[in-house]
This record gives sequence, structure tokens and C-alpha cells, in this order.
Amino acid sequence: MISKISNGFLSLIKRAAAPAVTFYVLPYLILLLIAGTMAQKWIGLHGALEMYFYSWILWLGPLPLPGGLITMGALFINLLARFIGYSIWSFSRIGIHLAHFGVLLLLIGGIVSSLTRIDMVIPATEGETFGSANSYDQSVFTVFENDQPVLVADFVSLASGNLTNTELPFTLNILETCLNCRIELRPPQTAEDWQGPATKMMLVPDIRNIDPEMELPGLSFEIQEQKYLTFLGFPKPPKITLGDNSYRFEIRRKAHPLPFEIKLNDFEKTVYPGSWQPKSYHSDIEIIDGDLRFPARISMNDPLTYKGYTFYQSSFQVKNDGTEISVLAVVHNTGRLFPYIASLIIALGLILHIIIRSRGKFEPQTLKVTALFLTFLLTALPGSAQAIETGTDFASLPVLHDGRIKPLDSFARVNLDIFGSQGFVNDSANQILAHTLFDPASAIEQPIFRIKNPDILRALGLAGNPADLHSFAELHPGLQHSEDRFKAALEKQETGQDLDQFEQDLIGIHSAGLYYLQLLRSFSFTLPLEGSNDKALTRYTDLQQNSARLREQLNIIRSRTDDPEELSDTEREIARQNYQLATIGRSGQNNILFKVIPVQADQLQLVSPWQVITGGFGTPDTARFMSLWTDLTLAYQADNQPAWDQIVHELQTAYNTDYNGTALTGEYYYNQIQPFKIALGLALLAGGLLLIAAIQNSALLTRAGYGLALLSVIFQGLGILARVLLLMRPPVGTLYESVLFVAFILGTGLLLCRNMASGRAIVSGGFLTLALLLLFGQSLNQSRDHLQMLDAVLNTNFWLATHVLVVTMGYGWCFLTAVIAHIQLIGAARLPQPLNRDWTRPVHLHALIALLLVTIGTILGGIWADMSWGRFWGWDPKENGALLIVLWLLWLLHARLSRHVSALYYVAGMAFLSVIVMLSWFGVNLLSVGLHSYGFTSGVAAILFGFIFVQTVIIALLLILIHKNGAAENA
Amino acid sequence: MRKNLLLVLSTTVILIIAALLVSNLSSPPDPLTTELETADYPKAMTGLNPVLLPKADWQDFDGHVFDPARFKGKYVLINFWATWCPPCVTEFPELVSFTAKHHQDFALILVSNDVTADKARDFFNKQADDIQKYMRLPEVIQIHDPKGAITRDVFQTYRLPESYLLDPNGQMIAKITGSVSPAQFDYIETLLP
Repeated sequence: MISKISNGFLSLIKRAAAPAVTFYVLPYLILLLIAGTMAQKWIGLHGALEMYFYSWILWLGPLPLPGGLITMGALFINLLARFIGYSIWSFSRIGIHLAHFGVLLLLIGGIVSSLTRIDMVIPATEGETFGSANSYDQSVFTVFENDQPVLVADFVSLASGNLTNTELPFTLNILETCLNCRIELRPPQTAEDWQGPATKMMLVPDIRNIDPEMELPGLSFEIQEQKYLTFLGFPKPPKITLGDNSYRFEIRRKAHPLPFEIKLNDFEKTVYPGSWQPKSYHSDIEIIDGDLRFPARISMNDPLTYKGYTFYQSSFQVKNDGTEISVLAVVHNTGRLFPYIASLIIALGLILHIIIRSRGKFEPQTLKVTALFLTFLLTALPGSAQAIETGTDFASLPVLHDGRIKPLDSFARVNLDIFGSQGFVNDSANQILAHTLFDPASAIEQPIFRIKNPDILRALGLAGNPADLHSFAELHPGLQHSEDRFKAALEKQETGQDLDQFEQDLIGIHSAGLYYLQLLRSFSFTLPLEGSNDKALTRYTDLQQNSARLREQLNIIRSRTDDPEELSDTEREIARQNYQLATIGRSGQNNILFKVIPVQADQLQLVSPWQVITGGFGTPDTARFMSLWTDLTLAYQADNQPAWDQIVHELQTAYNTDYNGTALTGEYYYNQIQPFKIALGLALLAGGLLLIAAIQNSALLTRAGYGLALLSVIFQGLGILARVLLLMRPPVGTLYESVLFVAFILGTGLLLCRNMASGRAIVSGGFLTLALLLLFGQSLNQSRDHLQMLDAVLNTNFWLATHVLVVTMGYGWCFLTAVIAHIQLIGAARLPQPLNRDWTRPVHLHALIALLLVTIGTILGGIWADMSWGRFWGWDPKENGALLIVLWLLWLLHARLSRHVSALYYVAGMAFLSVIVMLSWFGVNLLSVGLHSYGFTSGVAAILFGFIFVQTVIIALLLILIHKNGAAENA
Repeated sequence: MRKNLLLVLSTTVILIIAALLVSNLSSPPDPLTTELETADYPKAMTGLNPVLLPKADWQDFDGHVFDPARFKGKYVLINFWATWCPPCVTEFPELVSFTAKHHQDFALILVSNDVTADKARDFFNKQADDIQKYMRLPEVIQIHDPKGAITRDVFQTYRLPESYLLDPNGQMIAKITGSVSPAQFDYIETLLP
């Protein structure tokens, strides 16, 4: 009997451990992942979690399919059964076993977390002390008797009817509850029997919000034939008095008591200088645990853990009265440590496996490239203190824009981008900038606004011209005329509605016009006043100095007459001066664009000249700079080159005390040289030359091609290094940067492969792909400033360096694997050859490396997310994208092992990896949901879908060709 | 068998090391070593890198030249004002009273931007008796700057009132935009011996 049971159990384990389970369940999980990710756009994260990832059954209409829990459960059992029952315990497999064990631990941790995790929030103002934290989405209905809670009921458990099992001295009858209510005016005829504000308002059940935190739970109830209503956050909750007792009825977020108290002493936020973009923020708190009191700081990416509770600096809010509220996320999760331990084990396992399996298979170049990567990683870490050096000309002078100090050259290029005329005007960006700043009267005639949309031209009353360029003078009347339509479009944008192309372009041209106006008026305080006859009052600052006297004189004139015809010349002069004082002053009030004057205000920063005048930023230090910029204006207007050079030199010297002239000049040269454009050209040349070399079997062309390829990679490397030095952070903070970095990894990896069989073809195809990648990167103009600052959550060099670098290295290696796979397929299509496991080895090794990098990168991302947002894994689209790549690779690798796919389809699957990476990398951003939606792009969808279509067609064609020439039979 | 044992042992060791490393993440901060920054200045008061007072032509209403170095050893507030500036006029007696209270360690330099001296003098004559008495203290100095040569050209003050705080070494250490608030008065008091 026992042996029967034991045999039965062993048979069960054998079935559970079957490779077929892995082969069929993994792709189902991939499909579930894709479906659940896309669904988030319509049903939100919570909806997707409930429907796809944390469900047992996924209902597709009437059809029940396995939900996420069953799918992951099946994989867990499969892996566990295999691990316990069928592992071959040998040294050569130690890596695999460790990795599998790590995955099991990760899944176990997931189960423990899901059962024990509680997410809470504390919105704290300074000075407040908290002994509990609130749930995000669970509410309770609380009845207070003389301010003491006597009934606390979970809101979801409430149903219509009398509340039972209460000690209330009255019957409370719940009339109606709504998990998400809408407040509407109550028709007067229905107001009878309702009390308080309920006579005027009523609660109407509304559709559920995709974000439960935004919902408004409410209910109506009846006591002694009087009806009341209450809802979450109701400022006037209903109250009744019975005898000596008063009762209050509220709905609140469910409070979870903490085993200690936490007091917020201070909340500080720093913004990037001259902008509203938060750089970092932190809360200084005090933990009060009985007699123990100690201070601590909670900041972005630096949580505090105490007695099993972890506090994260989640965000902040500002009330209407200016009070800042620090929002602390609180997590209590018994399974918190599992991902950390599991991740270490998985990473160790994968590294061990690659080392053991690739003994003797790596060429010496591998070590050199590895050394290169490590060196590169070191350069990606934060740099040391800045050195002080002198810059060389106007283009290198510093200006504060978009939260960073940049040379005027970069600022000028951004300007042209905004006007749409970058690359279409003859004058350089700096010349146009100088003209606009220092001679606005004639600058408005310069055609620098590029408008192609005929509807916009029509709306602005402009005639088209061959160059599509228009001056501000031409534009201005049309901008005024179309202001109402602009405001309407803006309102649409602010309420989150979709805009059509016309509306987008209208907002664009109006914004460009407003931006230009700011530039034009940057030095209006120092420009000669028009029509001024008074030698003492030639500039705005002169007027301001005499403002009291001028106002007094104007009042005297007005007391005599309001008719301008009756004024004497002197009186007209006074009136004009007052008018100029008012209008120029008004135009300068919000002139904050051209920030070039250094001030000491909490920290050293740059403000605009107008801010010095109107914002109280002036100090004796600013006098010198204001005077120099004024002199520069005069030199420009007088067309005095020697004076201009002299003053620019003096400005350089003055700035170099506090600003890094070397970095500014370096950026100027970076802009001039444009290393990535050069790298793109070289990559195209290299790819083309190597293709010709392969066809003609020319050694000379081959060497030339490799040389150009190396040069391309060098330029990319130098470009990335320049970015690192200029921005003093790892070079993968934005989508554009990740493209540059992936291209660099791809290029370096390709050079490594040149000695492989078909190496020439691999490098050729690879560099052509690289060129496309760089070209694609150029189109990702999500910010006009390609050297942009980062959101607070990304502003943490260590996790940035580790997670994002490793994951983008992974993307690069995936591309490399896909390129190799393509070349293998092309080779097999051209020439029949044995398509066996040996044929798959080149792809296989690189696939393993790609898996290692993407897995570790994803895991590091989880750790970074845990530090910043309080959870290791949230099924965010970007996270799902990375997981998609991992699952794809795992599926193919396991299918190859279990021989569920032939060598041919294994390689074809690896060729398709390029599509998977593009979906993960860019596709998720198109959904614009989730915590990773900072990489916003527009117009990328077409390129992405085009790429997927072309790739699919290419791979399909190659497979058809291979089948046709009979090679597939050998697989 | 030995291999399996080695495997199990090494795995256990790795787990223990990993657990120890990770457990560090959950220990409470050492209360003795946690440092917190404190705010240095009240609102609207900006700290400056200490720098000596720039040279200027400090002349009073009678044309006499004044040397601010006379007040070395005391905290000094340089206040830019004018009779046509309502908040300046409001804070004027408060500044003078504060100086009188702390004149052993504190001095006040009032820089008037009135175009004519008469306007300022009229204003002085309208002050309460005690304020007029305090104005005669050697620690209260009236400077006349009709052309803004000091206010605008040297100190870059374009909106009134504004004040600069000097330390006993004669270095500018803080700037106040707008009127001097009660919190700022309190802060200055904490500096005085």
C-alpha cells in the first residue's frame, strides 16, 4: 500500500517535472504578460492585477483560462519537482541549480508577500505625530460617541439594511452604499426627511476608478426616520445628539496601528536651480518607541526600516495655503527579504553557469572587452570635484536652463529647436540668439520660425514660402488673432483630452512665440528708450530710479486734464515715460528665461537680469555682471567687435570663479563635433564596406570596414564619456541615452565577433543595425535638450549606475544575439548546411550572456523599486517588458535543452529577440502608464510597428528559403 | 556524495552570508550617529558668503561722509528705504527702536532713496518723540542716496525695502528682501551677545 502511494507520488513528481510543462506554460505566461500589460491602459494597474496576474481564472467572455496564479503556480511546481527529483548534482551544473533555487525562493517570497503584505500611507505635515498609518484603498465606517469610536466597520462589508451586533442605543439602517460615489445636487422635492447638507446633495454610484485611491466611498443611512449621508473626507460629517451623548458618522481610510509613533519634524524639498522640477526631497522624522526616541531621515531611494515597517519618501503635496505635506508610504511585508536573497543567488548561479560552460570558448578579446566594460562602469560613477578653468568665447558663457547650467551654445540650439528651424537657417544658433537678445528691434524681422502645417499658416494669416520660414514680426498679428483657439487647445490639453495635429501645432507655435518674447525682452531694462528726449532718463532703470517723482508728476497732470491734446510737450514726455515705466516693467515681471546673473540665494544659482530688478536678487556681486551684460548689449548695438571681445573675455573671467569653464567649453565642442552623428556615418560606411567586402571577398575592404567600425565605436565611446563628464552621472538616465548606450554595447560586442564564422557578415549587418539604432535615437526628441536633468527618482547615481546600465547592456547584447541569429539564418538560406546543436552554439553563448545581463538588470530594478516605491515587483509595464525578454530567452533556452524546438527554430526565435527587445524598450512607453512612464515619446509607434513588420517578414522569408532548400530537414 | 555535500554546504554558506548582508538593510539607524540639518535662516532672509562691505560714497543729509568701519565690533543692519515706500515707512520706527534696545552691540544705517532731503526730514519730524530721540543715537546713521548710486549701482537693490546684515567684522552675512519680519528680528537677537 505504502509502495503504491509512494510510486503514485513519484509518478506525480515525474509528470510535474516534465520539460513539456515548461515548454507550454512559459509562452502562455508570455501571452498573459503581454495581455495584462496592454490592458493597463484601459483598466488600470489594479484592474490588470486583479484580472490577469493575481487571478486563478482569466475569463475571456464565457471561456475560462488559467489566470496568473495558476500559471505561475504550475511553473513553480514544475521547477520544484524538477529541482528536487531530477537535478543532476554535478559541479558543472552548480550554476543552473543555484539559479533555479533562486527562482524558487523568489516565487516563495512572492507568495509570502502576497499573503502578509500591507501597504499604507501617512500624509504628514510638520509637527504632527502618528501612531497609525492609513490604508490606500480600504475604508471604514466609524461611529463616534462623544468623540470616541464605538463602531468601526469595514466599508466593503456594509450592506443595505439594519446594522446588527452593534452597541449603539439606536437602530442604524444603511440605505445605500457606493464604493465610488458622485456628488450631485438633490432635487428639492426629494429633500424631505434628509438632514444637514444631505438636503442639498446626494450620492450617486459612479463607475469604478481604475485607481482605487481616487475613489470616493460613501453611504446614506437612516436613524429614527431621519436620513443622512456621509462620504470619505466629508468636511461636515453628520452629527446627532441623543440625551447626553453626541454621535458623529464618518468614513475614513482604514488605519493600521503602528507599534511605535513617528513624528515629522521637518520636510525639505530642493528643486533644480531656476526650475520647479524637484531634484530631491526628504523628511526628518523622530521615532518614539516608549522611552526610546531617535531622529532619522527618510529621502528618495533611502527608506527607513524599523520593527518590520519600512517608510519610504513617496511624494509630497502642497495645499492651497502653501502647507507642504510629506507623503510617506509605509510597507509591512514579512516576505520583504526574499527578493534580495533570491536575486543574489540567481545572479551568482547565472554567472557561474556561464563561466563553467564557456571554458575555453571565449577568445582573448573577451577579457579585453570585459576590462573595457569595467573601466566604463567606473567612468559612469559620479565624478570628483570640478576644476576651475577659463572658457574662450560667447558660446561658452553659462546660462541656467531646464534645471542645469549649460553653455549659451546649447541654449541657442534648443531655441532653434523650439522655433522648428534647427538646420534650416543660415546663421548659427549663437548669432541668432545674440541678435534676439541685444537688438530685438531688428531681430523680429529675422525669419527663424519654421511652419509647415498649411492649416496653421491659414489660422495665422500667413502666406507660405519655399523655406517655410517666418519672422516674429509676421507671426505676431496672427498669434494675437488666434489666441482664443490657442487657449481652448490649452484647456483641452490640461484636462487630459487628446489633441489633433492642428491643436498640437497651434500650441507649439504659440509657446514658441511666448518663449521668443521672453528672449526679446531679456535686456529691455537696459536698451535705449524709444523717443526719449530726456538725457537723464534714457533707460528703464533710469525711469525706475525716478518712479516716485514721475508718478507724482503724472498725478498732477491728471488732476488738471485727461485730454492728451491739452498737454504740453514736457507733459507728454512725462506721460510717455510713465507709460514706458509701466509697460516695460510689466513685461519684465515674469521674464525669467535668460538666467545668466549669478546670485547667492540658498545656493549659488543664476537668475535672469529682470529677476535681479524685480525679484530682489541683487547684491553687490550681481552689479558687476549686470554692468558687463549691459555693456555687451551696447557693444553689440554699436557693432563694436573689439569691445565685444573684451567684454566677453571679462565675463568669462568673472564666471570662472564659480562655474566650470572647462565643462562649458567642453559641451560647446561636444555640440560642434556631434560625435554620434559622426559615429552614425561611420557605422553606415563600415556596414556597407563590409557587405561589399563579403560579396567580393576583399581583404583590403574588410580591413577598411573593420577600421571604420572601430572608429565608429570609439566616437560613440567618446561621446558617451563626454556626456558622463558633462552631466556628472551615469549615461543612461533618459530614453535617448539608453539608445546611445545600447548602440555602443552592440558595436563593442560586434567587434568581438569579427573572428567568428561569418564574422564579416555579422559585423556588417550589425553595424547597419547600429546605424539604424542611432538614427532612431535622433528621432527620440522627447526633450530638446539632449543633456537633460532627471526626475528625483532617477537622481540616485548608484542604482542608476547598476540597474539601468546592466539592463541596457542586456538590451545591447540581445541585439547582438539577434544579429548573429540573422546572419546564421541568412547563411543557412544561401548554403544548405547541417542545422544541428553545434550550429546553434554561437547564438547560444551570446543568448546566455544576454539572459544574465537582462535578468540581473531586472532584479536590480526590483531592488531600486523597493528602495524608492516600497515594492520589489509591481507588474509595471516597463518591469513586464524586461520580464518578457527574460521569459522569451528562458523559453527558447529550455526548449532547446528539451528538444521541443529544432535548432532552426531556436535560432529563428533568437532572431525575433530584436522585436521582443523593441517591444520591451519602446513599446511599453507608448502605453504611457505606470511608474516608468517618464520616457514619453510621440510618433515612435509608426517606426516601432514598421520595424516589427519588417523583422517578421524577413525571418519568415528566411525560414521559407531554408525549408525550400531542404536544410531544415537536418535540424 | 562528497560533491553533493560540498554543494549543500556551499549553498548554505552563501545563504547565511546573503541573509547577514541583507539583514543590515532592516536594522534601525544608530540614533547617535544620525545627523540632521537645521534651517539656518528665517524665511526671506538669505545667507551670503561673508564678504566685506563694498566701497561706496556714504554721505548723510548734511553732506558729511560716513565710514561704516566705525561700527566694527557690532552687528550692523543697512536698510534701504524711501518715504514713498509704505512698508519702509512702517518698519522705520521698529528698526530704530530695535537699535536703541541693543545699541551696545547693534547699529543701523538707513539709506534713504528720496530725491530731495526735505521729504525725508519732514518724515523724521513726524516721528514719535521717543523715535526722534533714538534717531539721535550714534548707532543710528541716516545716509542720503538721491541718485541710487549706493542702492542700485553698488547694492543692486531695485525694490524697497531691502536690508543687509553685517557681522562684527564688517562682512555682509545675510540679505533681507522686503520688510524685516519679527522672526528676523528674533534671529538677529540670537546673534547678539
